[in-house]
Amino acid sequence: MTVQSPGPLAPTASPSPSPSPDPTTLAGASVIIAGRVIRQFVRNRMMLIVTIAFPLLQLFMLLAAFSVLVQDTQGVDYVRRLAPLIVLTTAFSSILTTAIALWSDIRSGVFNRLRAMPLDMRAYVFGRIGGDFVRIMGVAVLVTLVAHTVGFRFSNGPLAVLGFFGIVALFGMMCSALAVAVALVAQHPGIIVRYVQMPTLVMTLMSSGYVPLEAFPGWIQPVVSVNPVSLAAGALAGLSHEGALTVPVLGTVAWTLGVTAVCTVVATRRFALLVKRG
Amino acid sequence: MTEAISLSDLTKRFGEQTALDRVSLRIPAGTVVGLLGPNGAGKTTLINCLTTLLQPDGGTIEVLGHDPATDPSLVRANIAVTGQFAALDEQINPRENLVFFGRLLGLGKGEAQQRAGEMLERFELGEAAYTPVGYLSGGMRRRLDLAVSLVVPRPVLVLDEPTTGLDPRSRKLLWEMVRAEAARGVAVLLTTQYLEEADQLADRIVVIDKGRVLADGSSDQLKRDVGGLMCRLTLTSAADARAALLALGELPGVSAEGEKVAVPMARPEDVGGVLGLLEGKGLRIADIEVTKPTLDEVFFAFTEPSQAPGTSETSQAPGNSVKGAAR
Ligand SMILES: Nc1ncnc2c1ncn2[C@@H]1O[C@H](COP(=O)(O)OP(=O)(O)OP(=O)(O)O)[C@@H](O)[C@H]1O
Ligand SMILES: [Mg+2]
Repeated sequence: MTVQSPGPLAPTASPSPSPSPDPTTLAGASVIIAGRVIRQFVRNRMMLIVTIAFPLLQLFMLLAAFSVLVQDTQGVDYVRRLAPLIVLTTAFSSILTTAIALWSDIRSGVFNRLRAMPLDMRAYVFGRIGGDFVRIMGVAVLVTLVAHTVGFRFSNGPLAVLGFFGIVALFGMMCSALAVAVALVAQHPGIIVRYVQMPTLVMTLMSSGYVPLEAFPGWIQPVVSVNPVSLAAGALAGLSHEGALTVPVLGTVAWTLGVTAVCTVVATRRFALLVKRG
Repeated sequence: MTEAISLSDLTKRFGEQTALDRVSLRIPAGTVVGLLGPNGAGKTTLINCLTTLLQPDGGTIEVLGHDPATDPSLVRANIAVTGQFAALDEQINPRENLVFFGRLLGLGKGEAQQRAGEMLERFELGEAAYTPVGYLSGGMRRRLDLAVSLVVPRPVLVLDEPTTGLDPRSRKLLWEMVRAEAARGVAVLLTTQYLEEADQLADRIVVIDKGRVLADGSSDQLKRDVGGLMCRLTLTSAADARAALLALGELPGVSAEGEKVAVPMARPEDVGGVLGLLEGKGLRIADIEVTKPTLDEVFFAFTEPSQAPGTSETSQAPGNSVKGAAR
C-alpha cells in the first residue's frame, strides 16, 4: 500500500537554480508577458478564425460581389479601397475579443499569482498592449499579403509603404489601448459587448471605407468624414495608391494619439486600484 | 532569530463581517504549521493577507522580518504560494506555464527550461508536458499549480488546501514534498480540511473558526484534548448492544445506538480490554473499527463552549495545553 517516493524528492537532491534569482526588470517582464499573449493567440483556433479568416473571407466576398459594380461606376479598382479597410477592421473588431479575454484574465488565478510575485505589475499592462500590438501588426501584414494576390498594390515607393504600416500601427495602438481601458472599467463582460460591438460595427459601416463619402446622404457626410475609420482608410488608400494625404494622415494621428492618451490615463488609474484590491 | 512568519492580532473585516479576529501565529524556519478550519473560517483570508493580496484592517505581519504593508516586494520575493484555486494559464501547456512563471521570477531562458523539466518530473507530469492545461485532469492541474509555485525555491511556502482533489498517490507525493521542503529549512503554512493530513504533516496545528483561533498545539495535544480514539463496535442485535453497554459501564463516555456501541479510548492497546469485557459476557461482535476523532469531532470539541455561552467552561473545554481557546 506504500507509495514509492521518486528520488528527486529527497532533501539532499534539492535542485539547481540559484536560491533567489534577481527579479526581472519592468521591460524584461513586459516582454515575457507579451510573449504569453502572442502564444495564447496562436494557440487559440477560435481567435485565429475570428481575427484572420473572417476578414479574409469578407475581403473575397465583397470583392466578388462588388468589384465589377464599383469599378464600373467609379473607375477605381475596388480592391485598392477595400484592402486597407479590411486591414483596419481586423484591428478594430479585435477590440471586443481582446477586451473580453483581458477581463477574464484579470479575474483569473494567474493574475493573483502575478500579484503575489515580486513583479512590477505595470509589466502586465505593457505586456498585454505590446503583445496585442504585435498580433495586430502581424495580422495586418498577412492580410496585406493576401490582398496582394487579388490585385492590391503599393504604387508610391518604399517610404509610402512604411507610412502605410505606420498608420496601421497608430490605429492598432489605439485599438489595444481601447481594449485595455474597456476591460479595466467594465464590471461584467456584457457591458463590454454592449459598448464595443455596436459602436465598432457602426463606425466601420459609417466610414468612407466600403462606400465613398459622396454616396452618403449630405447631412451625415460631416460625421462620416471625421470618423477615424474614414480618415485612416483614406490615409492608407492615399499612401498605397492615390488620394489626399494631409487631412487623413493628420486626422488619424490626432485621433489615435488622443484616444490612446485618454485610455492610458483611465487604464492606469483603474489598474492601480485593481492591483491594490482588498 | 526572527521567525519566518509572525502574525499578531491580525484582523480583517469585510463590511460587517469579521473574517479574521485578532489571529496570532508564529512559524519558525523548518516547521510545518497546519491551519485547520471549516468553510468560511478565514483560512484563505489569512493567506491572502500574508501574501500581500489583501490589506488587513489591524494587527501586524512579518515575513522574515519584512512587513507586507511597507515592503511588499521583499515579502513576495520570499514566499512561494499555491492558492486554493488553480492559477494557471489554461491555453498553454504545463511546460510553458512553468517556463513563463520561472522567467518572470528571474530565471534565464535556459535555466527556466531546465527547471521546468525538473519540476515536471518531480510532480510526475512528464506525460502531460505538452497538453494544454485546459485539457488536464483536476488532479494534474493541482500538481502543476504546486509545481509552478515551487519553480523558484523560497524560504517560506504557503499552501491553501493543497491536497483537495488529489488521489492518494499524489497526496503522498505532496506530503513528501512538504516534508522535504521543511527539512531544507523552509517554513510551511498549509490549510486543510483533513485532520489526518494535519496529523501527518504538521508540527503544529492551529484550529480556526469564524476568524478566531480556537486551538493551537501539536497534533497529540489536540487529540488528547478532543478525546483520543473511538472504538466503534457493531453487535448482532440491539439487545446485545444494551448488554454490552452494561458490561462496559465502568468506562467513561460509552454510548449505544441501535446495535452499535462507541467506546472512547486513550490508547489503541485499550481495545484488548474492551474485547475482554465483552467476551466475558459471551457477546458476539459483528464488526469493529477504531478511529481517530474526525474533523467534526475536533470542531465539536473546540467550538462547543463558544456556541453555547450559557454552558460552563469546564464541560468539554480544551485543556490548558491549548492556548487562546475560548477568548
Ligand atoms: N472578498 C470578500 N468579500 C467579502 N467577504 C469575504 C471576502 N473574502 C472572504 N469573505 C468572507 O470571509 C469569510 C472567510 O472566508 P475565507 O475564504 O477566508 O474562508 P476559508 O476558511 O478559506 O473557507 P474555505 O474552506 O471554504 O475555503 C467567509 O465568510 C467569506 O464569505
Ligand atoms: Mg479557503
